[in-house]
Amino acid sequence: MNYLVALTALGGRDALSMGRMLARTGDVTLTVCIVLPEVWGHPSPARVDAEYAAFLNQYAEDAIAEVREFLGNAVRAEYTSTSASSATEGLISTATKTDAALVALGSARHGPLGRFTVGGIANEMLHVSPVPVALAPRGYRPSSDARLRRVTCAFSGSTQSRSAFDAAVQLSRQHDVPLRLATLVVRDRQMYPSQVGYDAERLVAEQWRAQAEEAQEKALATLPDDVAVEAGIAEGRDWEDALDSLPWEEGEVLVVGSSRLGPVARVFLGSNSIKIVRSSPVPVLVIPRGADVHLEDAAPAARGL
Amino acid sequence: MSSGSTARQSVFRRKPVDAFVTETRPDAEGGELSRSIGLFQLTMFGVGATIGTGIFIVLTEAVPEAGPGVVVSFLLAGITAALTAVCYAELASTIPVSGSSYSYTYATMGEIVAFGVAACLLLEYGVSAAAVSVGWGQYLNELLFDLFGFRIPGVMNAAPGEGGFVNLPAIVLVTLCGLLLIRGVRESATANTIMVLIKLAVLALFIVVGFTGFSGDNLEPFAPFGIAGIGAAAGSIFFSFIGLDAVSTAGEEVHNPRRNLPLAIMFATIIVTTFYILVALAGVGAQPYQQFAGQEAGLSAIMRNITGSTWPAAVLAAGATISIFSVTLVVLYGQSRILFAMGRDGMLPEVFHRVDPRTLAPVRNTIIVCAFVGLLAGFVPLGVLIDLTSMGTLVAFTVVSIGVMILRRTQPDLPRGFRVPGYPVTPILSAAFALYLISGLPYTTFALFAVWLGVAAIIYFTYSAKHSRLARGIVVATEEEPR
Repeated sequence: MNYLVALTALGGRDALSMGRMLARTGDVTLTVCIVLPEVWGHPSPARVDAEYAAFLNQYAEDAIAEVREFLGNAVRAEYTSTSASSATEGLISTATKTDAALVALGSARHGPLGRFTVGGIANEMLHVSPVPVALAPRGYRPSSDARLRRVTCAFSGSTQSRSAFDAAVQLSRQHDVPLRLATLVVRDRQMYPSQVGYDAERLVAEQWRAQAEEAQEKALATLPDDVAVEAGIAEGRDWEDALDSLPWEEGEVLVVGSSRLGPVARVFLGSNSIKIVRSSPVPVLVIPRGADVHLEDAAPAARGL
Repeated sequence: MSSGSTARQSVFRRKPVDAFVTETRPDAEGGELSRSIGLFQLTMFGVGATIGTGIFIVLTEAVPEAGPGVVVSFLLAGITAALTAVCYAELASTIPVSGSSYSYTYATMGEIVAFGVAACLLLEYGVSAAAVSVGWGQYLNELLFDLFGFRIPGVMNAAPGEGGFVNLPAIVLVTLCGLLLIRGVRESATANTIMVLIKLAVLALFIVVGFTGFSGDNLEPFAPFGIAGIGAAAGSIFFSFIGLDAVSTAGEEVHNPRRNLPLAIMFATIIVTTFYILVALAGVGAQPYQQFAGQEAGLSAIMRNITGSTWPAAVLAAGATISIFSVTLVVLYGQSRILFAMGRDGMLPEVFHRVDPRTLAPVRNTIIVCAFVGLLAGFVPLGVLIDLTSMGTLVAFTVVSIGVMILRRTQPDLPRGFRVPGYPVTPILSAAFALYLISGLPYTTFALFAVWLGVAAIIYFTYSAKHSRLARGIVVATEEEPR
C-alpha cells in the first residue's frame, strides 16, 4: 500500500512526520513527491528554460536528499518529483499513478501551532481529491519512533459518516490498531430572549446524545468481532471544546467524512467537518464522498496481510 | 400509591423534577460557565420579547371595540400581565426545570393539565407568530408604498376572509425565519438589546409625531361602548403583552433572582405599559375612533395622515419590519422547543424530537412548526388570530396562577427561589383579572377555543396517554400527592 506525502518547497516536516508515523505499521510504502513547475520542454535558442529546468531538478534532488536523511531507514520510502502546472494537479496525477491510499498534506504556515489550517493547496485538494486526504497539524512532531496507535472516527450516524466509518475500520485493520467511534455533541447557541427557558439547547443536546449512542450501537453491531473498538461521546460548547474533552494518544488520527453536497467520489468538506479539521489536535483523514466503494475493493487484499 | 393506577390517576400522573433535571444535565463538571444575567439585561429580555408582538397591529382591532377608552384597556391588560408574570416567576423558581408553563404544569398538576396548557401555548406561540407575521406583511406593504409608491395587490396580501386569497408576505416571513432557525441563526442577548432600542425609538417617534396631531375632540365620547367595550378590548390587547414571561423563565441564570426577577418584571411591565398607553393615547387623539377599523399598518397610516409626508411613516414601517422579524424568530424558536420537550416526554410522535445529525438541531420539528404557522398566517384573518392568541395565553396564565396556589398547599416546603409578594391576594387577583379579560372575548373565539381543546383531547387520549414516557414506565411518575 502506498501513502503519498506532498513535499513543499519550504521544506515543512509536518506531513512527513505524519507519513512516517503512519508508515511504521501495516505494510506501507511512502511515496514522497515534490511537485515542480512545468517547463517548456522544447529546445530554445538561449536555453533559458533548460537552465531553469536544471535548477529545478537540482532543487528537487537537494530537497529529496534532505528528506531521505530525515526519514532514515525507519520506513520504506520512494522519492519522486513531478512537473505539473499546479501542485494539486501534480499530486492527484501522482496519487493516481502510484495508486496511493491517501495523500498527506501539511498545514498552512500562518495557522496556530498544533492545529491544521487550510492553505492554498490543501483547499484545492479538499475540494477535488479522489483519494483520502490526511492533514497534519502545524508543527506536528511525534517522536521519531511513534507509530499509529488508534484510529478515531468522527461519527454522526448520518449516511455521510458511514463512509468515514468504513474507511476508519479499514485503516484500523490495515494497521492493526483499535478503533474508536467518537460522536461530538455540540450545544447550539441559546436564543435570547427565550420564552422557553434558557436550558432549551441542553435538552436538544441531550436528545442528540441519546440518538448518537443508539447510532453508535447500531454501527458497532455491523462489525466483525476481530476489530477492537470503543465508543465515546464528547460534549462541549463548541467543536474545539468537544474535541479537547476527548483523550488523545500520540499516534492517533481522526477520520471524517465528506459533505453530501460535494461531487460523488471527491473529498468535499461540509460545515461540520471543516470545524472538526480546524479544531482537531491530531491529524485528520478526510474521506471522499462514497469512498466506501473504492476502499471495499482493497479490503480483501488488506485482510490477507 | 402505585396500586391505584386508575385512569383518573394516570392522566394526572406527574413528571418528577429529577427527571427534568437529568434531561438537561446542568453541568456538574462545570463544562459551561454559568451565565449570570443582570437586572438590565433581564429587563431588556422582557421588553424585547413583548414589544413587537402586538402594539404595531392591535390598535386596528381594539379601538373599534372600546373607542378612546382603549387607553384604559391597555392599563387593565398591563396589570393582568404583570400579575401573571409574577405568579409565573414563582412557579419557575420553585421547579428547577427548563421550560415553559408546560413543564411546570407537568411537574405539579399532572399530564392531562400539562397537555391542555401545551395546547394553549400552541396558541400563545404558534398562532401569535402567525398574527405577528400578518402584521409584518402590512408594514412591509406600507414601507413599499412609502418608498416606491406601490403596494402588493390585495389578492396576495390578505387572508380569504379579508378580501384576499392568500397572505403571501406573512408566509414569506415565516419561511425566512424557519430557514434561519434551521441554519442555526440565533438572536443573541446583544442583538436583543439593539432590537429593543429600535422598537422603543420607533414608538417614541410615533408618540412625538402623534401628539402634534392631538385633538381633544377625538377623545369624545371616551367610552362609546361602555365598560364592556373596554373589557373586551383589554382581552384582545392582552395579545400585545405576551412575552413578559421571558423574564420569568430565566430562573437560575439570574444573578440574585429574589431581588432581580420581580424588579425586572416590574420594570419591563412599566416600560411596556407606559409606551403602549402613550402610543394608544397618541393614536386615539390623532384621529376619530371610527377610522381605526380596517386600517392596515395602523401606526404608519396615522403618521402619514398627521404629517402629510411619507418619511415618518416610512421610518416607522422600517422599524416595525425589522423588529417584528426578530420577534417572529424568537416566537417560532420557542414554539419548536416546546414541541421538542413534548416529543421527548413521548406526548408527540418522535419526529418532533429527532435531532438532525448534520445540523444538530431539531430540523423536522422546525419545518412542521413553520408550515403550520405559515398556513395560519396565510389563510386566517388577523382578528381571529389575535383573539385566539389572547384566549390561549390567558387560559395558560390562569392555570399558572392557580398552580401557584395549589403548589403552596400541596408542597409548602419546597424551596422557592422567588415567592409571590402579597400571597394569596396576588395569584387570586391574577386569575380573576385573567378570567375577566377572557370573559370579554367574542363568542366565536370561545367556540374555536373549545374546538381546539377538543382536538387536543382527541390527540391526548388516542396518542399521548399511551405513548407518554410516564405511561410506558420509562420515567417513573411521582406518586399521588401526599395530602
